[in-house]
Amino acid sequence: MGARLAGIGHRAHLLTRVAFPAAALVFCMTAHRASAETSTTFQPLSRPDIASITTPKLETTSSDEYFFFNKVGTTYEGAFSDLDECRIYSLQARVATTAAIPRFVPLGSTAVRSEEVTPSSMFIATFGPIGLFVAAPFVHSAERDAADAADRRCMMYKGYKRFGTTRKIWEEIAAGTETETLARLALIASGPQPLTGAVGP
Amino acid sequence: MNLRAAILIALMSLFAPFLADTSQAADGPTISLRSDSAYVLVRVAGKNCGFLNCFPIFPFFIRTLNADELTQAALLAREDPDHWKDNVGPNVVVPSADQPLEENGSERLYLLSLAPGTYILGGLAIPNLVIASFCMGTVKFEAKPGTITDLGTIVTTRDDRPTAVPELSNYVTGKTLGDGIAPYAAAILRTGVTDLPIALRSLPVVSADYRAVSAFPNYVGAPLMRLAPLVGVLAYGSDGRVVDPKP
Repeated sequence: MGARLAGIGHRAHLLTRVAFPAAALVFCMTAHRASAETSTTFQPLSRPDIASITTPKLETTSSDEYFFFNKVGTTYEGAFSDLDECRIYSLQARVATTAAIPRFVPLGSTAVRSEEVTPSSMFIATFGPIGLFVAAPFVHSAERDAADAADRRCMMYKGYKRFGTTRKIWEEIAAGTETETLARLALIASGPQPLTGAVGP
Repeated sequence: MNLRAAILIALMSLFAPFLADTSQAADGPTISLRSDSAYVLVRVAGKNCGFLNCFPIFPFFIRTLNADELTQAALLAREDPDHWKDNVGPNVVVPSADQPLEENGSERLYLLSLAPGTYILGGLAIPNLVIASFCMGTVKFEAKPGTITDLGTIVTTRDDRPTAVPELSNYVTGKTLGDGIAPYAAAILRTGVTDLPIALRSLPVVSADYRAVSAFPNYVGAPLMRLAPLVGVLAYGSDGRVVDPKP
């Protein structure tokens, strides 16, 4: 939610040489296992009491990577609900290129994610585990992009503006559980709108 | 579209399964309608162009399910978690992209035969792949047996660039949101039944009676989008919720 928890760019050299190939192999194995799972239901998070939430002192920048949302006139409760709805949409997002046309959609059921075809299952079926090993970096990155884009577009449709901030402040916002992060973002989203730092949708 | 997404598109389009559920009339001398089937006529404008090729864009439709069908699907999912979707009846309809009734530049006309029922415009696809899910707002229509329901023209364009398409010029985002694949926006033009092909003019054709559909889960998992507002049918509030202007 909010900015992706990136920041691995500074360590890319080491990751590329050693850690990433190992992680990719693990990804190949675990992602293929996930492809055999059936649909997953995503549940809304329980909203914490506003009195229990503290937020860092905000500072805005022109960063497009670390950001928070704000909307004039919204409440903490409303913002939490909006952020949670968009969180679920981001969890449902798949790599667009592997969102094969389904034959059946359970329209009317609760929020689910189709697992009919995953990138890993398709690569393994066609190119074998080695093929997936080669493709894993692309797949993982594309999946993360899809989730981020879903989150940002969802919040844009709901009328929120996006404001850049520093990595340090973002890490303070993102500390703790997912619920705590969402609550901090909701409190910030319903607070005073910054005069600077708007970075567009 | 970034390079990684482009590479994935090129690879996945080689072997992604095609899961259409419809029959489609291609250009021919006569067209006859079955009384137990419904028919949909839709024009589509726009193409999806990547590094290597251009693909026609077309809509996909999802038939709404009744309580019995949902219950049956849930039962099948519990009994056979790995293969239940192979055993449940299909409810997604897509045109066969290479069989338009007519083609004029980037605009194509499709006539589809489908099961009677209520359908929602689920989003956009290119051959084999979904590229937009209208899960945050779209429209639905009734497809009645023995009748052709004219959906008008669906115009499409990239959402991450400014566009000269009049119906979408004030609607597209105009910048990337970090999407791995180019997102596509769409609008419906109510072209009516006045410009029908000659082969269809003696057949029963009605304009679609569209109704707004509120946000629903992104079942397909494709890029999250919503259909552009449609005057008198579909609007959006400042909170993003779908507004249905019809009484």
